[in-house]
Amino acid sequence: MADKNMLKQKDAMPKVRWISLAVAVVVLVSLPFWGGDYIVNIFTLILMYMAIGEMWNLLGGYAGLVSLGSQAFIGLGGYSLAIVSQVLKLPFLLGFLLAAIVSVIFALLISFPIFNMKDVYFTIGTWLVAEALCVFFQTWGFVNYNVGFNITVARTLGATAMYFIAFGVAVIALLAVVLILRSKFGLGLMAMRDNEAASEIRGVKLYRSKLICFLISAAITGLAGAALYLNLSYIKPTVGFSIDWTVSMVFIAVIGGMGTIEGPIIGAIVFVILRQLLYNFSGFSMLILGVIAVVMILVAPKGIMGLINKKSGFDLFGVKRKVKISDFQTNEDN
Amino acid sequence: MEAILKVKDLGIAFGGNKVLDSVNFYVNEGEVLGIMGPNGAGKTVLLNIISGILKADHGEIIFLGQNILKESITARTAMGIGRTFQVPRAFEHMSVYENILASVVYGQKVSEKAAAVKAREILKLVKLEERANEPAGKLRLINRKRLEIGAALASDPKLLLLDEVAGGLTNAEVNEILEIVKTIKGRGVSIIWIEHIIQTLMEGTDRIMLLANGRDLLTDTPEEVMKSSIVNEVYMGAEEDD
Repeated sequence: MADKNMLKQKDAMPKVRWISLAVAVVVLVSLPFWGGDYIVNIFTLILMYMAIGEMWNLLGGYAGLVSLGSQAFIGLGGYSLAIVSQVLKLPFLLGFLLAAIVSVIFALLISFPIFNMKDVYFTIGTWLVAEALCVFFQTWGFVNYNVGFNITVARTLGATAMYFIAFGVAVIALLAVVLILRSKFGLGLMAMRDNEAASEIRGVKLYRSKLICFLISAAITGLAGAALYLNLSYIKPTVGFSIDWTVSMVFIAVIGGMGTIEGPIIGAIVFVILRQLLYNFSGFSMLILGVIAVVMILVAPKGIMGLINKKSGFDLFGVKRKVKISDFQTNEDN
Repeated sequence: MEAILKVKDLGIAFGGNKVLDSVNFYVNEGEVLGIMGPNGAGKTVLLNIISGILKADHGEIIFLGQNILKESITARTAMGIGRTFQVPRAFEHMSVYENILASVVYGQKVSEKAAAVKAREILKLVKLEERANEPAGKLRLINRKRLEIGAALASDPKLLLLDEVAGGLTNAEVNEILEIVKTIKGRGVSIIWIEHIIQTLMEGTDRIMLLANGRDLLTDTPEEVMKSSIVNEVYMGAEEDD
């Protein structure tokens, strides 16, 4: 009986889902008009970190590609913006386009060697590639060696404009993940997330799926890198290609919940708020964040979203496929 | 009757240990071939080679007239080889329906809409329609086994490899699995079935192959195999079934 009820049960989620999404959109779109600069800046950071968290999660949470080199795309994005706006003196928005293109090309180039590395070797490989890129930029005169660039266009932008740029990047990241997971490709990704070997035997082409995720993740992380450095207004190699970026992404995904869309949203909120609270303990802030992440892994390995999902089965973006008992009856009739 | 699968001189060794020395057998269209053998006989290894998970050191696997030894796992799935695993490997965080849906989409290379119809048919066949929206990770063993069979069927296989699908089940549950296997056979699917429950093999197979010491020692009808002294010799020497 209980089983039948489960099937008959009307999906109560769409209502909650649509109301939640509508409230979130209204709040986020109107925020610059009622929130002060501080609040707007905090949300700007949350949106940008959410975007990079989603992209790391696409790799680590779904495709099983645990990367420690995603900072390469942040740096490439930041430098693309700097070169377009500071060197070429072109409209800075073209820097975003270049960020995505350069990141995809770089991802494609490194995919051949690093995709031949398995598990921990892949992780180390991605990190080494990012480090090598950092060293290369330190010795490249065209990008001012270790001095880097002041991104002066940032000074002409107000908090509101910066907020909406971050909002745009976050929407692109979120839409990309939602559309992927709602597609046929997404079904394969979720299967890969749950059991890579079994997904392959069911017909999922692992290499191709992973490569697609890697390229999408690179493009959007590059975009986010451009946004992050537009906000920071200064870039140099040791900062642009710092592993701290990827550590943040991992923290966001782990705290929020790996392998879920909602996880990086929650994770980004927690991360940015914690970072603000720990601002005065700069020497210890990463240590404290690390301890929090470890405790979270031990207590709730599926993150905050995992806990919510376990309690309520809540799925904000409706990527779960469901079937109704009437569908089976229709089959029988036919 | 024509053979859908012919295995010739198949062998594999791990670190000098010959797990399969020289295995030869065939499976006819629509036939169920049972495989029995003691612990460590290489039964699962044999299925892993046929499905492409392991690469054989030598030999041939002719499936539908083509040597598939160099084909990838996904290519073999697309050609019509489906398999279950001894320990069910469900997509734990996906629902039962999503498990089958994903397997149909990728196994048959069809749209999600077309796959939905086929997924529902499979759920009915393996009697999981009432659990369709439950997370696969929360299923009990019998339902995990059903799901495993359903997922293997999702690619519309011509040859189904069953690896101890009745293992760990009660007698009543074993009979349920047996009925499902008979239904699948009734649809013309050829089956290779590894099982330790002899009675199940007796009832559910057309022929049984005895695998031991890396070789196919005997292949015959279930009745003839059970009468054979070779079976006693092999099992007397074995400590315990796996």
